[in-house]
Amino acid sequence: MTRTELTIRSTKNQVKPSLLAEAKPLLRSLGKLGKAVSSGVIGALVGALIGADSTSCYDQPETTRDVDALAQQAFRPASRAIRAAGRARRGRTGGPRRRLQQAQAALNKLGVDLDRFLQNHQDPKCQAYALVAEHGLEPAKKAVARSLTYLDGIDQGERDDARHKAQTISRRKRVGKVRCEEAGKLGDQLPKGAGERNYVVYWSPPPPPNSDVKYVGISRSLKRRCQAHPDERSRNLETLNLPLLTFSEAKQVEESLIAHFGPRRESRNGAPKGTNRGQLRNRIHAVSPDRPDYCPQLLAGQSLLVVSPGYLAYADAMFTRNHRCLGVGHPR
Amino acid sequence: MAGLRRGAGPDAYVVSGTLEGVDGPGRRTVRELDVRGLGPDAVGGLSALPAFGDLEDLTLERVHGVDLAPLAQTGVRGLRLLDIAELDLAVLAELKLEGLLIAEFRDCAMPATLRLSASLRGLSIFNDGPSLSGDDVRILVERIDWSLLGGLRMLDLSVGGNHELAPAVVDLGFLRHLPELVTLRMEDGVVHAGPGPSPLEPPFAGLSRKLRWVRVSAVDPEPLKAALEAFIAPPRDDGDGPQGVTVYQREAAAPAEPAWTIREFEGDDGFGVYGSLQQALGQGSEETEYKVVKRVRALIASADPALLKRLDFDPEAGGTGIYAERRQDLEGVLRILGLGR
Repeated sequence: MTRTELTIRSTKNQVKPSLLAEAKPLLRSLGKLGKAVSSGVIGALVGALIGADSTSCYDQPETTRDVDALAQQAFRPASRAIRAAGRARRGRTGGPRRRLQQAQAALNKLGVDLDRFLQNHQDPKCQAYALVAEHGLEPAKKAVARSLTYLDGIDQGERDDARHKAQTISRRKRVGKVRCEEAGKLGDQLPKGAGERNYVVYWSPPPPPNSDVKYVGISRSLKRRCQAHPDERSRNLETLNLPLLTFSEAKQVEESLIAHFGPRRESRNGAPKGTNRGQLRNRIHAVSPDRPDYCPQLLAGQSLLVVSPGYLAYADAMFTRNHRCLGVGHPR
Repeated sequence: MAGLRRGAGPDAYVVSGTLEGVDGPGRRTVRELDVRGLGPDAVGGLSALPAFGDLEDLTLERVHGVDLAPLAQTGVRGLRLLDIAELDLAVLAELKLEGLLIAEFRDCAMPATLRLSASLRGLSIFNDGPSLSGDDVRILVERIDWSLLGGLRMLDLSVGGNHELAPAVVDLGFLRHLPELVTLRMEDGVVHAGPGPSPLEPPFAGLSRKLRWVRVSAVDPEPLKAALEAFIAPPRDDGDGPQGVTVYQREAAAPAEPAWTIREFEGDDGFGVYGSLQQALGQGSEETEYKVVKRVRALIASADPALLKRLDFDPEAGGTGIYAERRQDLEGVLRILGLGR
């Protein structure tokens, strides 16, 4: 009996109609992922359902239960991860992506375990049991891979949108690199009042070297801000040569820079607390990484840095309290 | 009753006010936990912490008068103590830490000799705030048994930076015990005074040869920078953290200006105050300056709506400038907020 024959016989005989009915809503929700992904999911489901209900290897119940468990540990999370990917929205792809990656690892492990099972069990009835699961493995892997590609597409769309907005902003008049001595002249050129494009972003001292930067901030009244800061900070303060920004745009760039250099009380992402502390004197973030809209705000600020000549190197976010989102790492 | 809520990172959770009713992680995997705003009246204190078997990184923020002993029964590798007071730091000797940050602390008890774990790789100690002192930093530095910390790779000591504080005067001779040091930051408010020469001056006797990033200050920065650059390992293009030498101009300790001092600006720019509303009125690091400004505006609006219209707020992440044409308006703001004199 060939492997395919075994699989078909097992499938026809053992899939319960009730279980397929149960799977219908799941399959409907996968429409977004396209035909290839859906067929992969069917393969994954078949593997899981057969694995759960097959009784062909009567004489070795313990062994078959082991295969049951192995198959379910891989196929069910894969199905759920694909379903979650189908529901993913912009700015919310991190969780589904992690689940898919975990599912990918579980499927790879299942492949190794099934090969070992087939080598150790020569009885065709037992082998049939594992072969059904193995048959679902490749389509499931493909489905997971396509789901990851689908998430990449969502991310790329989000990046493109953020970049497009940043490019539109970057066409505005630029501030130039202004130090405190010239802050009065700058103030005369800016529109007055809240809600206007009158914000500048500054750092003190400016890079390079990058390790010198101690403080980043924003202001719409730079002359007064220069007088309020300690002499040492004001003496070295310089604005970034960015377009004139609104308050929210400036805050987003400020957060990007804080996430790059690091607030003084926080450790770099992935480092144990207390090590790799941020280099800034800024105590806290401009936008809290706890906020649900942190990722889009960070990405918007990073995108402005990316499209502004000379600031690409400062768009890496390394201090986000381990918050993972599209903008963490490099935004490209 | 407080509960665990999700923090920013994966497996990160936050609990505020009290751990009462939190028996442990439940079905969650909690690797990172922030405990915020715990006082001596918090029921159970930190006694629930040992139940968190997966806990690796712990932050205690705005914690005062609480027994830290339960920490000894956890497996934390990274610990941040932020804005703490009246704690007994002796428990630190019982932890197998890799990273330790103690910042904004006062009135903490500590043993005559604090024996931190030899597993420690990163240590940061700093004080910067209107009611804090460099003396607490000095005492802590003097009590640490540095001979046990031969594997330390990152050291970071500072006093002040945002606020003018008297510097901590310490014997930097302990640096000779740290041959593995890669990162050294001591640019704010730490001054050498000891029987021997400073290891941070040529010929850098006892200073780690493995240093890659040095950030210090000096009265005459340029010669020291050149000498340090000749001393430390040449920069490598391996992307492994910052590197290089930065020597800032050491500023003479200026007499501390009272917080929220009203200043008159040059020209016809009126009057202004600047300071961190987040530090003065915030609820910890989950609240940004911008969020506190919103709260402050609402407070002023309810107390004196006409006054709010005469004010101009210019916030940034590190603080907020509040401007007005008349000094009296700013005095009114400070009175409403309970700030300044």
